[in-house]
Amino acid sequence: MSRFQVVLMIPALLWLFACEGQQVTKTADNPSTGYINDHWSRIQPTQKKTIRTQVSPSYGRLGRRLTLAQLRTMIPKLFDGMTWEDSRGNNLFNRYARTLGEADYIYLTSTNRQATALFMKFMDDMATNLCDRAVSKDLAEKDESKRMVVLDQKDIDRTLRHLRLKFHTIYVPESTNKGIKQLRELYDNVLTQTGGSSSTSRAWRSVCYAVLTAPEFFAY
Amino acid sequence: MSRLKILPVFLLIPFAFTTFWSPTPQAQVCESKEPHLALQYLRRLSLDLRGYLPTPNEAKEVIKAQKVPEKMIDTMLDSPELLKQLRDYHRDLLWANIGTLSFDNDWRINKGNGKDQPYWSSYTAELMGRPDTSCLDKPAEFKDGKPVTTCSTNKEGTKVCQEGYVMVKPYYAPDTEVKVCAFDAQGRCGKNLEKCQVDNAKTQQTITKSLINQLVMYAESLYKSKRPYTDLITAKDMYVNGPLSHFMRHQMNTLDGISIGDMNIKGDIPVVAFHKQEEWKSVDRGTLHSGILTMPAYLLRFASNRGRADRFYNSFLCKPFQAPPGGLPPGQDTCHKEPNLQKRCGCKYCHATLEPAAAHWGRWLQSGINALDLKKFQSFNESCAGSRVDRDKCKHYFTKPSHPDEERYRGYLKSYLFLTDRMRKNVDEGPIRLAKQSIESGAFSTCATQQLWTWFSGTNNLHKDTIQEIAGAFKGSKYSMRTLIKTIVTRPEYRLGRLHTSN
Repeated sequence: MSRFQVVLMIPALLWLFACEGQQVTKTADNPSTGYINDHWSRIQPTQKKTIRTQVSPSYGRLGRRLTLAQLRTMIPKLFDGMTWEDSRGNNLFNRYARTLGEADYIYLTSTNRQATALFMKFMDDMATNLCDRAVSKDLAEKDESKRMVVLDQKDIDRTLRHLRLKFHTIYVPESTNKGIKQLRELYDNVLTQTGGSSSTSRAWRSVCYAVLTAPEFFAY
Repeated sequence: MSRLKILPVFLLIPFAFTTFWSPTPQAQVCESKEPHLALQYLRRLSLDLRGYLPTPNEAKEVIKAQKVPEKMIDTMLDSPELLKQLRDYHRDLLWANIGTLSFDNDWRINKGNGKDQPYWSSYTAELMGRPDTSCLDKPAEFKDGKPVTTCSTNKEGTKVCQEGYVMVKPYYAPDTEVKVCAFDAQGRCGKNLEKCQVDNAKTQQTITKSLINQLVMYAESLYKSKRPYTDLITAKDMYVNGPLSHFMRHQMNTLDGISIGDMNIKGDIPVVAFHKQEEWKSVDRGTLHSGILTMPAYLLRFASNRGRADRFYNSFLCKPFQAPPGGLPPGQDTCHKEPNLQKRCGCKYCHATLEPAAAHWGRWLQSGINALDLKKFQSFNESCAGSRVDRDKCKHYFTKPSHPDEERYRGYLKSYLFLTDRMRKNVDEGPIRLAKQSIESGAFSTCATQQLWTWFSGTNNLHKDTIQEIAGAFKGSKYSMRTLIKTIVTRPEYRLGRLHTSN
């Protein structure tokens, strides 16, 4: 073995022991570490695989806010054809396009993707508009596959897990409640504090607003 | 298996390393196979390639596989939703909107609704003796083929003669019938109103919308038919739908404000009925054409030759024109009297490049879509070089110097002003020359890579070596847009997002 090869062997041995302390046995249902509750927190990948890539001082793709065009396309898919509209059926994504910073290439040549207070205010309106209709419809719908928000009224955690996956693409396995804890608290609080026959509906609406106005929904 | 048990395998690494080592600098990047990271990658892919969130079923598939299967990426790349994203991308790249363009002229039916109020135009009403007044809301009567009018005196004491209406099947909705004042129906609007815009039916908006679609759907058609992306700026074909076919066959010469005439088209315009907005037919264009760079929407959106060149530099060369550091010299500076922008202080920083580039559109009218044919419009016209010229005949030629330095350009096409002999080639060969140069130099593929990365990532932070590597793969695939997109979205910089770091 030449001296050169011995020198080259050192990085190989270093690689061998890299990340050893963090290695865990995982299955899809047991992601005990590296859990992601949002799209922006820095995490340390725990299971390593070495890939070769170009050295470059550049960083990867940055997180972005959803565009109005994406919302316009995705909302009907998420809400069984329903979209953000006024009482006359006018599409409010189109009506507020300029206000919400969508480029028209005459007065505005690039789309504004900042999560401004104005944008979030309008998104609150959108959430209210959609959630009220969706929850009312869901509570009357017998076929689970046709429900948009309230998948299972009886199994609340299952529904919350489903919402996290459907709207945030965040997986909350059965083994943990970490990713749905806050939503569950919200549901329980609204249910307790409102009372009455409409309390379930109000609780689900609140959950729906929270899901739809969460940064995890708008960021990707 | 314990890592120590596989230690011998690693002892072989140095040998493998010495065997397969490449001089390209490499780094090790930790790639997680956790479902959460794969899910984020899926979310990113789905939003960027299709414009909507992944379905729960897709997410479950990824959780199970702990990665995004390549097949799933391929499905997205072949989905119709990707074509929509490509349209949006090119709309953004080309600032594609000519909605403010107005066909405001006499060839308009601008009054009435065709139902309880017959359609009529202010122009015809004025001409036929009923200014600002509609015709009667009763069927027209004819004598010797001419509408019979009934005259009366209006409140202002003016005599007004009104005819009745006739029923017409308008070109934009041939299955319906509308009431049209008889003089309008018989006059300049022609059969089925084919030469006129009808405000109430929004025909003008339909045409401008189709012109934009013509531009962006061209990029889409290249992707669908697996043609090289370079065709976007070099090809001679284009597509027309119903509104554009009708517009080009019947309404091109009815516009006042926009100069529209000879578009250097080979053969006849295919006949597609106006109402067929989704039916597109191919048209062969002449030698002066160069992909989207000479399509009507591009020429109208960027009405000046400088504007056309500027957009090309921004979109396809990634070289925006910027003012010099420190700004321009004060306005009182005598250097501003230099008439040649390529030499004028301050201006020259951009115009030394911009003027020769703009010359490529020298044979395309500004504020119009006419091509100035090489045979019909020689670069120099003796009859336009004198002190007294026929203004109409010489409207495309430079006839009025305002500076002694401009004298020697009298009688040349306007676009020849201050061009050197070498630059004159740009005028005669057209934008295709600029397009080919940009492809041959590699600037086109590099910029396309940069633009697409910025579209997907929102930043222009890719290292130049990485851009060159991706651009090389793009070029190697004969400029396949699909390859370019797939290369980008499978790169660690995209896949790992913010987790991607260099050593």
